[in-house]
Amino acid sequence: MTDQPRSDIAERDPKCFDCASIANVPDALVAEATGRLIEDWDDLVASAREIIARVLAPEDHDSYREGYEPQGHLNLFTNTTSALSRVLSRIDHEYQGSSPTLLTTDLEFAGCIAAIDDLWSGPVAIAQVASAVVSDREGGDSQLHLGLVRAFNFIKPSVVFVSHVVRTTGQVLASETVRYFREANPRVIIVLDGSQAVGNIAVEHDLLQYVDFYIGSGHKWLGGMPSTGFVWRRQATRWEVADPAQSLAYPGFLGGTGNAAAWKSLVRSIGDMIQDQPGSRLREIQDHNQRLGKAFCETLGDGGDFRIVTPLLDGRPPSGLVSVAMPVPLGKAVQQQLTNNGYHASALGYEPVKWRAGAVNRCVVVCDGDWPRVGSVDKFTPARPSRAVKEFRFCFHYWHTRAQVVELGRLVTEARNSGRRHGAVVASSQTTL
Amino acid sequence: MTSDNDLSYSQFPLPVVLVIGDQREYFAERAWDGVAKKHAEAAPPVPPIEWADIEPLLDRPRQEILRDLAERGWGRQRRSKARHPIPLQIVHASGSAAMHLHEHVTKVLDLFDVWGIIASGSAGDVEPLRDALAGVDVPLLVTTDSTAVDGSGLAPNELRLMPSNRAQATAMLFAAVRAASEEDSTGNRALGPEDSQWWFLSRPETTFEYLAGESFAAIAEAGRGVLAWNNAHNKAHSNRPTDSLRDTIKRILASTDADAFQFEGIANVAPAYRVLPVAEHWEWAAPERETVAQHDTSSRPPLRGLTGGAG
Repeated sequence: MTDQPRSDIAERDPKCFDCASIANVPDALVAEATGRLIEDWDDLVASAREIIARVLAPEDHDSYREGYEPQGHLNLFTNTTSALSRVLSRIDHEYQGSSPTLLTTDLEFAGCIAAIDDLWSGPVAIAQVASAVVSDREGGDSQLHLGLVRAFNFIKPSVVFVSHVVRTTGQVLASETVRYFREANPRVIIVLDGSQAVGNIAVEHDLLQYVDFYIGSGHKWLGGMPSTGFVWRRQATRWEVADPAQSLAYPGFLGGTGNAAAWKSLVRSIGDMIQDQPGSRLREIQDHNQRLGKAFCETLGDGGDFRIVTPLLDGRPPSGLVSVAMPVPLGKAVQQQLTNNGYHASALGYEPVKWRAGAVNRCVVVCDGDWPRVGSVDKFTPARPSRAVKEFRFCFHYWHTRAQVVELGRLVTEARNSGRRHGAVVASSQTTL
Repeated sequence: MTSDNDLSYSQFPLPVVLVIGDQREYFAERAWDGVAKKHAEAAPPVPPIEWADIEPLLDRPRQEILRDLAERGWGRQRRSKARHPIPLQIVHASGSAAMHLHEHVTKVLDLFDVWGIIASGSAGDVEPLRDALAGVDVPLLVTTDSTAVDGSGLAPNELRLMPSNRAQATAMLFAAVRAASEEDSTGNRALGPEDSQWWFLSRPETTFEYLAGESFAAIAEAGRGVLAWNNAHNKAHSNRPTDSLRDTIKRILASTDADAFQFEGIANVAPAYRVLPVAEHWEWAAPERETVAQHDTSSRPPLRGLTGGAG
């Protein structure tokens, strides 16, 4: 992969360093949108399934194992939260009345926690792993593994829901951790949130073979229009999950209700991305994204006003997602700088979830001390920076070049320097997720 | 030295089944004997872990405990899928000492891979244990000899097991039928059949030893991650004829020899039946529509049950 812009993806916004809503609608697709009903919906859905399956199970991967179903089965949804809701409903129905425990973490998206609270009738245990993960810069990955394994051993859940790539830190869940869950309890149902993973890193067989449900997003790193999402399930026959109904009209972006344009854009986008060699291309993309993340971090420097939250190994982040924490005044200056120059990135916010009334069987599990501590929780507060810190998430995609990323870093640094000149700098603060 | 930092991706805690009981009650000792005997039948490489051996370790710092466990062969290790759990005994005192039960259970849950818990006690009150297990998804099998425990607090993963003699069986059935008739002893509405269901298994002998031993064997056979209701469902169905509640009660009433007392297994209390006490005899009141309890579990909610038989 070179550092030169690719002409075949010229419509990608080089200034968009967000993970979602990044698809530019090609002119050709706009021309097709006449408000009519799509006539080739079945073909479109089949194309979408086929190409998404190639992303999840690259046919040129060499770790295929006997008895493993590389394709699994795909269901298409409009977004990951709706997909998760369907999966949870299905599992909860299967276990109706026996109230199994679901284990998740404080690193998950608030919308997912809300869905869990709404749909899961059994106990929910939230493993508080964020603090340990963020505070250990060198061993963040091992802290994530340890925290999950200890919570898993203690709670012995029947269902586990965790992110494949953590949305706030960019850490990647190790396949060994998922394998541990599977070997420790062959009956456990493992649901992974891959919305920040698919298209960012290569989703390998080593991981998928232990997973029951893998949820992904089409309108994030895969570069499709909103709203597309999917669920891959390993056992096609055990879980009867049907595709939800979707509007067959075309114009998803001209004010209509149809989703056909979104699926068409996703098929086209993935085709651009993987071409004819999904396995090697996806690993290439992962490497490219990591190198860009490293270049960005080197441009920023670490310490002082900026604290790179994402754990780095030899200066490289585990994926194309890098989070940086900074004092609020600087954060505002950075935000203004990016906006003034047409750049896009995410400012991570505070999204508390208050449990629905009557949901009393929710608890937090803290395993960072000698012994686990279990406490009740009346509302879930996902991992968040302290009030004195603003956190930005930068996403480096396969169409970005090193030059573009360095330019981004320069802008951010310029904002910091400007902030210093105007006395906006405060003492560096620890990120306390 | 073994420590958490040495935790590799392939090392697992020792699988165990906890046997918890009040030290003052003989039930706890008998339950442990039953479990140890059943464990010995499999000629296991690791003997049961008695409370006297594990208790002194639990007061030490975690890292020292991990080292001690490893030295005794109780530490984390790579295991095959065929490995069976080891019985681990926890003996506690009641009253204010119950707080130590919480602490000990927490530590054991963290240090070992607990497949299930067998709790024994005369009153069957396991509220402190339930507190310690908040959020933890492990089947809890309670062996008790009391029918007086309020069934409303039963957790879905909790199964009640009771050895019985004739008097207990009668009281047990009466409580079950009351549950079916939705009335308690004061005539107020009690739990309905959806909330409180009872299993009766045909056994030649049910003692605490037997119940605890069979519970241990059931957990070991079912494997990791089984939910109590699922386990009870599978175990209770094995080699046992089904019968209606009416015929079962008639057989009980007709039996005059407590030692030879047996009754057949049934699915659950049929909601259509009501029982009217008439002197010393139980008479069935004809329901509005004649139905027979069928052994149909296709739509059953989870079961919490008793075993009964000649005690």
